[in-house]
Amino acid sequence: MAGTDLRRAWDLLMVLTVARIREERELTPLGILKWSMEPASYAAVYVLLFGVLLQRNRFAFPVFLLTALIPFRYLTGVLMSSMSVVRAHTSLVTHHVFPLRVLPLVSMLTELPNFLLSLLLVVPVMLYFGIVPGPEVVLVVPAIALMVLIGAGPAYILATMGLRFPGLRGLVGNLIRISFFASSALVPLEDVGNPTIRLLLRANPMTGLFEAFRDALLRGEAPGLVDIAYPLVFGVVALWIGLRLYGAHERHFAKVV
Amino acid sequence: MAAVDVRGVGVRFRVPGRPGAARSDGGRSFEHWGVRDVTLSLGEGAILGLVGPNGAGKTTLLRAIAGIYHPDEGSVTLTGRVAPVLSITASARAGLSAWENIELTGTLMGWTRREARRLAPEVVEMAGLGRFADAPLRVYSAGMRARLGFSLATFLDHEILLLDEVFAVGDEEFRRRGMERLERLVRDGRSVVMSGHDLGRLEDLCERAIRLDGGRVVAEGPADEVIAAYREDMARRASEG
Repeated sequence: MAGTDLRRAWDLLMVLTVARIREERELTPLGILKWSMEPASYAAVYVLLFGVLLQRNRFAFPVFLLTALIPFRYLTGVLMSSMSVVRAHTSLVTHHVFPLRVLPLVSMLTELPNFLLSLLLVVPVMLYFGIVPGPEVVLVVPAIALMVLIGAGPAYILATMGLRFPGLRGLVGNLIRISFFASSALVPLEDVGNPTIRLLLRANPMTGLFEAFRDALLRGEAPGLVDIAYPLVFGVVALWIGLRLYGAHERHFAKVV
Repeated sequence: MAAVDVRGVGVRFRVPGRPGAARSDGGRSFEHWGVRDVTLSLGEGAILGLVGPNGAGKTTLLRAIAGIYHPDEGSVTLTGRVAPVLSITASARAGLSAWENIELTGTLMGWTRREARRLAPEVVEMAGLGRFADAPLRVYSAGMRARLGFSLATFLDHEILLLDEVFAVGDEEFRRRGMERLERLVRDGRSVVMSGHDLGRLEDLCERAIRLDGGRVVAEGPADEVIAAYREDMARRASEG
């Protein structure tokens, strides 16, 4: 892709993302408060359910939970909106010629403000439990990059499939939810005694991702190589598959949409 | 050299059937050719009119020329950049202001964001939107939307313009000014392919015309002759009920 084309694609990505955020979210002070509180209220339900009712009294359990819940919410938002992202831009797809590959990226960028705002909400919770963010907190940046990479491939795959099979939405939603519970989101890996189950949990790329966030925000240490290598490979392979699939179908989007 | 060269183009669609329908009751999905075996060419500084009833294939052909639909057979060769102004306001977003829509549409048409922001005041000025420019498009009248879209279109410096029913909206004054602008663009060397049901206006603007029916070219020639024959056919069909 030539430099001009890249510049154009970047500008387009920015314009489409801003347009989508403006259209979907009320950008008044009250509106911003409303959508920034949404992840907090979601997290509160989980903390109440697992921290209080199920008595998971692990140290700083809310931080432990939020470091999984916040990236999971981001990925859920990206994947579910990717399923309808082409159709959501029908009027553009059928009236303009532009690099259609930016559309799943629009979903990914649109979800980022919510994610970053939610991440900020973790800070007071950390402080409450006496966890003072040190220089290790910068390790959250590669963790975010890993999260974006893990979401990218499936976003392209679901954008393609969602156009052809919109009825898959419910099934995909269920699979995403299952993948959350079948990870280390609620139970620390060291608490899982059965080696087979531990292996299965590790086979879920979200486990490595959640551990990377915990290393940065909870444990204050660099993530283990094994923890990030697997989700990294998963992300690269999924992105390759996603781009191939999307690329093979995008020329027909205007007809199908 | 032709600015637009279309040779034997066909665009095929798969029309979805009723879910669970049996083959015997005709409810299954089927193939439909939106246009087939269409050949045309257009030189620099010329306007070609497309006429035909609804469903004739005019919009499909324009989209195939634009590169929005990839032809399933035949080829489209363009000399110059194409601006598919297929519908003046179809891609505008109702929740966004005029400024934001100009930035969005301008970027889709190939401008950088900086260019779009630089040209936006002139576009808004020409459209005569005044204080409405800051308001979301959903509160605009159809005429205001049309003015905004057409003003934006005239700022595009693409060599080839594709216009689909652009004069179907707006008042007489808007149409008159639009026609004047279009004539000026053509004098400047732009090539225009435009479709519409306003036959009088197409007759005035175009030197040549093509009549489509059922996705195929059924007549081609000087605009006044093609349109006159089309009118006669339409009148005869209407009288036959």
